[in-house]
Amino acid sequence: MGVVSVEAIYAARKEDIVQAWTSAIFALYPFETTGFLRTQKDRFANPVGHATMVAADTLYDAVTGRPVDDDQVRLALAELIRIRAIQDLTPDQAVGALFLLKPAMRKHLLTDALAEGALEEYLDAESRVDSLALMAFDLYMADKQAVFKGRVAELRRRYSQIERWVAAQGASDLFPDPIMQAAGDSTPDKP
Amino acid sequence: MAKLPKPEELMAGRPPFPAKGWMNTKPEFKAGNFCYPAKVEIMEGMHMPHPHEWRPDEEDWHLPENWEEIIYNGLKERLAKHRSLKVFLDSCVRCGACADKCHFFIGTNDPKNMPVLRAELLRSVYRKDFTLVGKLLGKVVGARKLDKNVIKEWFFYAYQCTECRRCSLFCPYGIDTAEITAIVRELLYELGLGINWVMEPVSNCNRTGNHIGLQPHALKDIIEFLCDDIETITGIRINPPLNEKGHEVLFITPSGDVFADPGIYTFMGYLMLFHEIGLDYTLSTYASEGGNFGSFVSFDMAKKLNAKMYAEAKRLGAKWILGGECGHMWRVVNQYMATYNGPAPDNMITPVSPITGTVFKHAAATKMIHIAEFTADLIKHGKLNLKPERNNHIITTYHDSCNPARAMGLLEEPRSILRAVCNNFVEMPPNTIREQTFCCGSGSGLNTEEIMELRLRGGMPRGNALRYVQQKNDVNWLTCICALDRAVLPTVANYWAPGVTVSGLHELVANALVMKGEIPRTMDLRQEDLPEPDVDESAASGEEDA
Ligand code: SF4
Ligand code: SF4
Repeated sequence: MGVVSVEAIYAARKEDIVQAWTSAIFALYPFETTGFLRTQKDRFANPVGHATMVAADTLYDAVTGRPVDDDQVRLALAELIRIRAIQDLTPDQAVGALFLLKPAMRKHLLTDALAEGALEEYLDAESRVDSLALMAFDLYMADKQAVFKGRVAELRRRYSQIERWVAAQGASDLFPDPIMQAAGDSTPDKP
Repeated sequence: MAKLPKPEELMAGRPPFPAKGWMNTKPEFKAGNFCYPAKVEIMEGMHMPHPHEWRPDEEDWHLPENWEEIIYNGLKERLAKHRSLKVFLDSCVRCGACADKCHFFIGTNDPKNMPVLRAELLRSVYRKDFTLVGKLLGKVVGARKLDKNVIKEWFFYAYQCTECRRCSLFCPYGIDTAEITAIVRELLYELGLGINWVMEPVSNCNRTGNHIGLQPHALKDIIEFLCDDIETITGIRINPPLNEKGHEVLFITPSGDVFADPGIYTFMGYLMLFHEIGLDYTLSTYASEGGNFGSFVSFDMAKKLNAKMYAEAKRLGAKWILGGECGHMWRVVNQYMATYNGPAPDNMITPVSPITGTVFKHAAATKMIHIAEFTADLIKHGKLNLKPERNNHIITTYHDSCNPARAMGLLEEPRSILRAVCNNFVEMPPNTIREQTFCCGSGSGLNTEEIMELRLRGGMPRGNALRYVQQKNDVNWLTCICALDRAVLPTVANYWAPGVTVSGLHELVANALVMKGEIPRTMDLRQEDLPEPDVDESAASGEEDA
């Protein structure tokens, strides 16, 4: 069985696949922007492109079964989803970026993996894409929640001394605050 | 029945953008991507033209009947009034140098947030109606006819520009898209289209002197609360003068410093500093707002709100004005105040530090200086007794607020202060600071919470650079000198770099400031325990192990 050679194939195809994958993600953006996202390499001038490329690189290794540090995978995914969660994308577009890896893998890997008799390894790799998507879904929800909590926390900060003043007038009920109650802990739950 | 699409098909199901070219693509208004319209009674109260009910997400914006004429005349008038506008509209060669420099473009990746296209929204109309080639050749030279969709597009994109001017830094012709945005907003106001988050503060400020509408008694009470807090922390009671005549200095700061976290700590810092150096100053309940949301409406409104500063300095007989840590306030003061409301009242003089004797000659016209200039001068002359170790648990970076950095070049003073009061100061990457600083994403009246996701997109480049130094240098603090920043950067930081605390500069100054007669400090201005509390020398019982 060609486990070793499947690994070699995975490694050899990495560049093509990562490129195809990131291109597919960038193609979800407006036409005039796609080129910028792909070519501007400065991470501060192009945080979206940079986070996407870094994530693609790390996540490909994770998907293809290379030993990777859990935290590092989670971090790369979190940085990508953190961006996609607040961009003007539908939830399926935000999280579904992960699934765009599959067509690229099928195109560049599947035939050779089958020739090596490594169907099972290949399917395992695809299943890992599904795992990443599940993790991404959790991250996405946590990010959205952080946004909502952020809104409430900001409101509280904005009126902190007014609240104090109103309380000193013995009129706390003037600040009717279901919102404030709902705010609860103002620290967002973040990965 | 159709087959269920595969993921890549499902996601690609959005309309290709822009199939027809940007000029023909309409913005889609949906909850969360537009600011709420100004309330009719507020618009009426401020005598704004054509107050009316309307909603951005409805088809009909109920524009006045002769809206085309209003825009035409409005643009004509402004072209005559501001030569710069005509130059900006005429001279763009569409080289694209500005295109990817805007934080909103970087964060939204929407091509119409490229400054060049943002300006093109107005320029295309200008070309059609005000240039000969445009009249003759139309679309071929990028000219288009004004229609109601153009107005909607203006609204959409003029409120996705924070007037930060980063783009102008990269333009070989110095074209300032912020000025174009400001004019577009003015034109929209001519049609009765404004946003509440700007107009309500304007109205409050007009009526009570500050954006939130705090009346004098409440303002006084709140300042007393903050003095209570100072007493708890330092054992020193401060009673800042309010509305008193005959003091040398009138101190004006954004009102957010008085009522909002974490601005209040900066405000406490100002009071502690003034007390310590024995500054002869007064606060005012009338000129109780350094910020100027009028500058996000129109030149005239900015002028109207700005006028109170001089009026109050005159009434109180103050010799010069010291201004607090604010952003857009300084753009107004530095660039427009002398034209708006100058010359300064006769009783005023060029600011001179009563402690060091430094004459701030650059402020000879406005008679007003920024507190960072004032404090940096104090420190340079060794007039403050500082214990930066009190800030040892802080590893801070510094956010150059757009206006002080780009509109007044206030780059070194805050940094020199920060180095003196904090032992750990780390810069963010060079292409994200100083003149090239990235906006907080919420400036120019966009700090309203109904567009939070949009703001977080706009704040992404700043957040991203912050995240970088957080990961690389363990930065846990972000210092800034703008009240809007203090209001919004905690939200930006919480999202993009959770764990970073935001504060003003004078909060850290006051943490480090050793005051005559103070008790040994055990807590910082937020009343959190100092990791290394002061050693109580008077209680030298020998048990102290520090
Ligand atoms: S002024 Fe700032 S927000 Fe406006 S277009 Fe230029 S870079 Fe963007
Ligand atoms: S950099 Fe200046 S000239 Fe070039 S496209 Fe932008 S605004 Fe036009």
